[in-house]
Amino acid sequence: MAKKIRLDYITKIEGHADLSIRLRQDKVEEVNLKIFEGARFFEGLVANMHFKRVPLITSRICGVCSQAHLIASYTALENSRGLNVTKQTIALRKLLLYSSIIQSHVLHLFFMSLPDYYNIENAVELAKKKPGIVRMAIRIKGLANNILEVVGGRQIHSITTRFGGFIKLPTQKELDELLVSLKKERPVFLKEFKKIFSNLQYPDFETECDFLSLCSNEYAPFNGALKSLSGERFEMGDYRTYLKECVRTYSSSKFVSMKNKSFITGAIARVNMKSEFLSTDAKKLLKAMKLKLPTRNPFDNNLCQAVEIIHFFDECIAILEKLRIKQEERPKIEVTVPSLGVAALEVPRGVLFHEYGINSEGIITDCNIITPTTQNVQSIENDIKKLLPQILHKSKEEIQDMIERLIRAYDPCISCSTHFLNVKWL
Amino acid sequence: MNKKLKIGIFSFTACEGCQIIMINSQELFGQISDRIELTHLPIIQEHNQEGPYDAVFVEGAITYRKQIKTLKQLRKKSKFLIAFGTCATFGGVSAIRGYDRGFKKKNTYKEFEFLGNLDVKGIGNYVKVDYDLRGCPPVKEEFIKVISALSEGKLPEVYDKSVCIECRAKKNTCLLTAGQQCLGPVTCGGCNALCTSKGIVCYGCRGPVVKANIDGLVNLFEKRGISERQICEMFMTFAGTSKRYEDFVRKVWQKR
Repeated sequence: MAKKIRLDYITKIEGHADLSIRLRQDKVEEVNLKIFEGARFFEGLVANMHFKRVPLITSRICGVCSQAHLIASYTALENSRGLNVTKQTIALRKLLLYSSIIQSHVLHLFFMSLPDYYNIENAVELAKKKPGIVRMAIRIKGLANNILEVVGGRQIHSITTRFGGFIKLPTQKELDELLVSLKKERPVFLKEFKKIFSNLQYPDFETECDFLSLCSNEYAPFNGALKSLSGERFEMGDYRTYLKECVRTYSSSKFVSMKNKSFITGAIARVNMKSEFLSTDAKKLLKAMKLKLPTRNPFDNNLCQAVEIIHFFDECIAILEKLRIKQEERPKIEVTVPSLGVAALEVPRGVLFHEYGINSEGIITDCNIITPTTQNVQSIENDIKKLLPQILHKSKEEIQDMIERLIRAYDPCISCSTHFLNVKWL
Repeated sequence: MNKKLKIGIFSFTACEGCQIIMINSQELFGQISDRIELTHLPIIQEHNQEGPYDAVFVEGAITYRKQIKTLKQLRKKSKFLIAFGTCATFGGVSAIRGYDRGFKKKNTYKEFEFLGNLDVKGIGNYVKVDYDLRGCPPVKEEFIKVISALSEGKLPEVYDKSVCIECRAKKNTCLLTAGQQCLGPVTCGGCNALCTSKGIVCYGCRGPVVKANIDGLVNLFEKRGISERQICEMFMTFAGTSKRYEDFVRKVWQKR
């Protein structure tokens, strides 16, 4: 007899998604992750617009990773003109990007995932039962927000960035104050993180998916070649040859595969492949959590995000220690011939690709954006397929709960979220 | 103590930055948590109530047919309904797609026809909206102001002063007079001239004021050599569907 499991409205993820599973004689026949966020067609929205308007629009793809889309757009468009930005601009962009990774990870870890592990409904309740933890999470968010406000002008949808640089630079005094507060508070987080994340209970599970990240001698670089754990390697400009997008009629998100195989991108992929570039304290946390690398358990993504919070705080501190702000002229971008530019960045949930074609009048003729979540959805489906047989003997509630936690561990970002209105077992 | 306000946060098509601004408000976990009960906030909680609510905050634009029904049900279940952010008020950046006839023939759109896509509009086109909490993203202070008013059973008065008025009150140097392309004169304030106070032009993320003098600003920009098309892009980025901008945008954009 065929049996169906449907999870209508998955909560505590960023976006609207349902899940339906079809079982026959306890064999999993089909798993569909239905993303029903309204399709937004950003590639179409920027078509025919002047290229200078693009980042203003594409940053609205996501409120959590708006900095990522903003910087990816600028970088791709600058790459198309062969424009190199100054070291200062890169440093400031990194501050924006890294603090938004911290901000995104904290939101996911403490406000979406952690309440599960304590069997608590939500962060507001968690704040009542474990006030220390939530106070720290808010403090971390606060520090990241301070960086975003000082460098970007506001917390979401920065206003200070422009082509080739910044229209408004932070003052040295503001940056120095950031440095003081980061240096003062960061050590506390390491101590607390060791306590919180060394003892989380979650299932033993191994994915068969591959992992993908940008390679180069830096933990989270701008631009460069990509590498998978299984050994695939390609230049970012060749991404269309390696990564294939396809549309499925049950979902408004595309599905991406690499040579017909699913893969995972994000914190877990970066920690798996780039751990040697982590800061000393991030490595200490990794050791305290006894995480064996490479890990193939997607639930470990939570731990990897914790490691990255420490790492990116340390990166911000290192940048701020060196940065001496000076007024710089922004290079002018003249467009006289058609051009094409690609950028690939490590952003909160993995590798983000932006590609633009510009005509000789500076008008956008082509745009392609591949977000980390579209790369991960195939792996989520595959992992659910693999996890289900291991847990089918459990109660309905436990199965649902476990699948939801697995989906959540991936930290999918679908932009907007609703809830389990009803769960149907057919 | 008064009964806690039952508040629901709902999200249609958006970047959900509005909710993030809300979650970033420390007040949510402190002083205002005593006054409100978030009975529907699925982004961070698993068990959510289906109403009735004292107020719902609706984030995002309406982009496909099924959302209209959900929105209408929400209206029935709630005493107050607040458009939360520029996408809810005017459709936001997603509304750009309504202006391009060529766009609908493009592949990205065609492949997703099964979704029942609509031309994007703000929620006020489908239900009565009690308050527009504008901005991309909205400012936290206004969110807190709305919550405070709600706790007294009302909403703040409709605010219709331009960014320009707020900017002048702060005695900032005028960017428009300095030759920059600032949308401050036509854009609805409430942000306390956030960008212009930093010396950055207003790009109009809060949409127009009711009496926005569009023609005046267009004339000025044109005299400065800005093409009609570029001016059109400025207006259509966030609030192309607003009554003030729509005619101009439609006229220029479809001429191409």
